[in-house]
Amino acid sequence: MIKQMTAIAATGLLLAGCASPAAPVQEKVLGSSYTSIAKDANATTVRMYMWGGDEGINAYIDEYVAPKLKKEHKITLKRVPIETADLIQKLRAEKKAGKEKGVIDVVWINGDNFRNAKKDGLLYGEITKVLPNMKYVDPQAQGSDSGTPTDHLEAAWGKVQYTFHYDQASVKNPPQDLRELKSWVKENPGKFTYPEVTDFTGNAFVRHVMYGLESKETLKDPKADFKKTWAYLNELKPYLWKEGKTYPKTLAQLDQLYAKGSVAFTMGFNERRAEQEVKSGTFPKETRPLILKDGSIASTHFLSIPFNAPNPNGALVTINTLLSPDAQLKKFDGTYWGDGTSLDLTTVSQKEQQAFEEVPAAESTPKPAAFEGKVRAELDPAIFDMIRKDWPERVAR
Amino acid sequence: MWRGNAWPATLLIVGMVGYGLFISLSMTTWGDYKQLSADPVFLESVGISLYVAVSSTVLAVLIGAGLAGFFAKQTGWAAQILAVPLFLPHLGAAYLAILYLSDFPVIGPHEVNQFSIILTYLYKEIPFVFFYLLPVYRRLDHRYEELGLMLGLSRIKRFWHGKGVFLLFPVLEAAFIVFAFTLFAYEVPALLGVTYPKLIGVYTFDLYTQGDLSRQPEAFAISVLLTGLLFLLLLLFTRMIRPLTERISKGRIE
Amino acid sequence: MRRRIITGVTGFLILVPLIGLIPSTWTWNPRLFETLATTISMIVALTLLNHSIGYITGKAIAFRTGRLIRSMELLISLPLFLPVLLLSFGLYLTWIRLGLADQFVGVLLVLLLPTLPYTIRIYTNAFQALGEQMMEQMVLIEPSRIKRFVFLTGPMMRSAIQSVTLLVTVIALSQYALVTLIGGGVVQMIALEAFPLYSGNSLIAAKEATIWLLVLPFLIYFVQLMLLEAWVRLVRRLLDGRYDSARQ
Repeated sequence: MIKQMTAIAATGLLLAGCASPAAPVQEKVLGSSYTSIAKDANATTVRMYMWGGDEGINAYIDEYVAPKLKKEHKITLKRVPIETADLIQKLRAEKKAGKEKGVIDVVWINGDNFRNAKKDGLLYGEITKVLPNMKYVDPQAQGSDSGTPTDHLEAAWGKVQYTFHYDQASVKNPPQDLRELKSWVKENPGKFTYPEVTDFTGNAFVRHVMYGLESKETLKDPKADFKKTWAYLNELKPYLWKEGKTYPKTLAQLDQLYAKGSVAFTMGFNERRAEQEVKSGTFPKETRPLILKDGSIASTHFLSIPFNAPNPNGALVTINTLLSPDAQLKKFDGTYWGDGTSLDLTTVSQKEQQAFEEVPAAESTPKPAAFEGKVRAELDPAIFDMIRKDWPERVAR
Repeated sequence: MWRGNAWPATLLIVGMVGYGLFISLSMTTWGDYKQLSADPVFLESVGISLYVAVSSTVLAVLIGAGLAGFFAKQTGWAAQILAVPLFLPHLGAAYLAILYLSDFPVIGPHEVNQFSIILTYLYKEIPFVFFYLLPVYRRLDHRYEELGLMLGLSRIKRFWHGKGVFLLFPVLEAAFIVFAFTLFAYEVPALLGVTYPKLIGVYTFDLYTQGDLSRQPEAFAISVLLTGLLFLLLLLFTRMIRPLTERISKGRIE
Repeated sequence: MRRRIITGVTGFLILVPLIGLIPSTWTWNPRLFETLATTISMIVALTLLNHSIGYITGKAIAFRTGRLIRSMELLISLPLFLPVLLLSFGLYLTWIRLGLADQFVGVLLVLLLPTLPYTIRIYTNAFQALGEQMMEQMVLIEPSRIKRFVFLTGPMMRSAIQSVTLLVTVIALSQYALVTLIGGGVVQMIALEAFPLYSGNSLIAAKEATIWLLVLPFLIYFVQLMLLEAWVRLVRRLLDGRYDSARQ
């Protein structure tokens, strides 16, 4: 059926000649040495697709990484601000249509997007095997992505903990667990909310509620009825910002509400993310971290290459550069982003290790001890989907 | 040949619309439509979209037509001022709403009453309706109304025979354009809408892109369903109303 | 008096919101340059296509009669009334197979859907206002089609040309979902930059993108105004009684 349609289209519009045939270069690229990959990548263009709502992250890529790649490899890096879920859809459509040469070289990915991409064969191959800088990457972070084995298909780029931030000026005694959070929200109506669950951070908030309330068996079963979670969220709802009739669409919107003082809490993956915001005066000065007793999910985010990347050599060099200790250090310190490193710091040189340790931690960043006994593994990505499907009907509605 | 040629445009548009529809149709099964008709989230989305589209359209057409009628003879500065929003893309208008309305309680963005979306549309569509109807108002022949006055017709009848007949079709046409646009638009409601229920354009785009493939047929089904419905409405509109107004206004000098 | 009040109120409601767009910061970088270059080339290409197709189609709808042309008129206006974005999900799959996805040309073709129907409508109205007799006169005076357009019809269609360019520009600038879907991020138009910033964390960056959304239509409008002005002046000088039969 579809083939017939294509034929009609091709003859009808006389555009059949436009499709670009591409030979499978995958084996060749991944089979060669990094030196020859780097040589082939010289003076090429790399398109990196990533969510574009954070000015700090955008600036890190545009102002630090792009010039670095230009200088070291004459690579032109183009950042494209499209969300990963949309990309997975795009790659699927391209796979189905047999498009062998796509447009995406590097993609920022993790969690359910990775699981979907892996399941549908949308990724390039065992890329981490050829990257020299993989020797620095923490094997534990690299091993699995929210329970899905990475199988060398993606490289860990950053490692973060879910952290709440609150304004000490308006919250004197911050709640320590979910139960206390509920009473706080009830006593301070309108001062708390979380992003809706299509947002990465909002979805994770619901998973934290699950960790606090559901049994271990339930947590393992995406088909289970998470009654306690929905009940808890519904109890919060009337006391949320705007009485829970609407939720911030994105984390950035929640951050804006927090910056304006409309709400007293914000949250997100990355324990250091408030530093830059406090320094620039966006967040209140007295922003402090909060790790609930019910646990904090550890999350790793990755870089990967799609199956039909037009410039796999350039993509590999770009990822390798992003994993270098100096690029990771720049990402870690508060200049642009303040993102946790994915490197195992015992493997880097003494000097570099010291540089990492010397990056000062602001008061908005939790001490390492705050996480003791609270670090939780990411849940099955099928639960992400379940939340996205059920939350609108059972909570938002 | 000086009479022009409509074939290239027709083929191009029919080709693309027909093809998009055909492929969407081929992606769906009967079951998808059945599922849709029973999906409360979808139905609520349709409801809220209709609310936004109908209120935006009615208000924009009333105010736009009123202004056009008022300024028909002599526009003065009004035409220049009303032209300004035509220069601002919808996306920019949505930003203005975020910028100005965020701190207001009832009309701010992300409120269930969707006032910010409606206000954004009004900012853009009132000028559109104004300029759509201005030439129509200018072409109105006042002798008809004078004739009615001499014949001693009632005010309403006078209005109908003097103006209504000539205005009906253009006004409905403008309304139809604004209605369809506000019903399906993505950009403005995506930026200003609430979490639940989502407007139909956003809801469908989300279904198409989010998560696993399983909900994509629904997106295609919505696309086919809405296209079909609007097409029927359009046919009805052109078949019923145009002949009516043409019959009534027969003998009018173009 | 009433006229003044209504003009005043309208002016206030329309112009005051624009104050927020007065720039306080200004950034210029290669990324922005590239985005603007793509956006402007897209608009120029799209506008030219719209003009050439819209002109001949509008003429046909205005001056031809019969059932066929009436059904064509209806079919052409379809994208005004149908969900173009939703239809483009289906179109996208075909575009991939035809090699049009992620291409400038692919986006250009799809952008015809939300723009061409308006263009045709404007040209139709303009030709109707011109009238059939006037057209016949012009055909008699100047049989060469190109010369006829340059010297006669073109200049008389000035306001239609201006409206079309403005509408096409503004509609094209607003399309985020369509351009993202079909252009795949490769066709880097300004909406692609602005949209993520609106739901992002930097209001300043969002404002700068919005300024471009408003500046571009004005810029294009005035460049065109000057071109049209030059055209008319040139035609006047060249003509100088060329069609004045009395002088022969």
